[in-house]
Amino acid sequence: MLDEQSLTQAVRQATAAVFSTMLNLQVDALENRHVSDPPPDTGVMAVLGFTGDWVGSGVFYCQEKMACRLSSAMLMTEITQITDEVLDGVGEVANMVMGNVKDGLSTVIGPLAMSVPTVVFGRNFQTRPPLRHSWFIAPFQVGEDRFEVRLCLSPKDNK
Amino acid sequence: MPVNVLIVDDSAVMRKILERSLRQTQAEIGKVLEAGDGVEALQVLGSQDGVNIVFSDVNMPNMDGLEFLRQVRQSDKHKGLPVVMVTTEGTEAKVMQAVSLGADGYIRKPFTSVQIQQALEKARG
Repeated sequence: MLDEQSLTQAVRQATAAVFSTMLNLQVDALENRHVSDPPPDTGVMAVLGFTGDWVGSGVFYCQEKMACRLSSAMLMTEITQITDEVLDGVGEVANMVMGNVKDGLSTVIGPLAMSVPTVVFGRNFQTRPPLRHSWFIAPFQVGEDRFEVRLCLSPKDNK
Repeated sequence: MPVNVLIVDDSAVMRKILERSLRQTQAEIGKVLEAGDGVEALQVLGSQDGVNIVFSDVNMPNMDGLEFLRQVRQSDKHKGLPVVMVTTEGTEAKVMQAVSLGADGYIRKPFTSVQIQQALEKARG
């Protein structure tokens, strides 16, 4: 069974590895929370789907400033506004984080297949969990900026 | 002799990062060609001579990296071309699948330029 500790460990390890290796940024994990009906978001969000013995979605969410910051770090150039490269960069960070999370969880919930990311940029958009479960939200801080890794996973037959 | 590389990834940002990592290695990197998926990569190989090694993502739209690898190995012209998979798909089953299809290396994202250098050396013998 997937417990809070396994989930927290997998998300924190994957996120720290991606940010330190690919972006040369150190992240601080903040306190997790569970939200069944999240308020509208504004910023950049990358969404990926999971299928296998467990199903669900993974989300990487951040504000515009953080999206520019992580893309600047990836490309080693200063980016100050949302461009296709920024959205691509956020999608790739989400892809790496979620890929490593699912591999980290594979000993607990079995292998999962993962979709390519869909990236959304906008204001006041609502996300609903794909299942009748709440989102597990792991917030992180990088200096004064924040981002969130969100997961909603459930056994296939328990949707 | 400079090494000409084909990078296959649906993320343009990741293609740039991989090129930068390749140029940070001790190898002399020549021409770097890019493709956004397996279909484009086969077109590049069909139209460009002199590619010495391919670094390919696995999870891509249109044609994924494993199908691309399968088609390269079935091609008379390119069946001996070194192909290194670079992907977030790090489960043992995926690695074994890639190896059984003839992958010359398997690098998991996130990666360092040292890992790229090692894969480059190993794949080129």
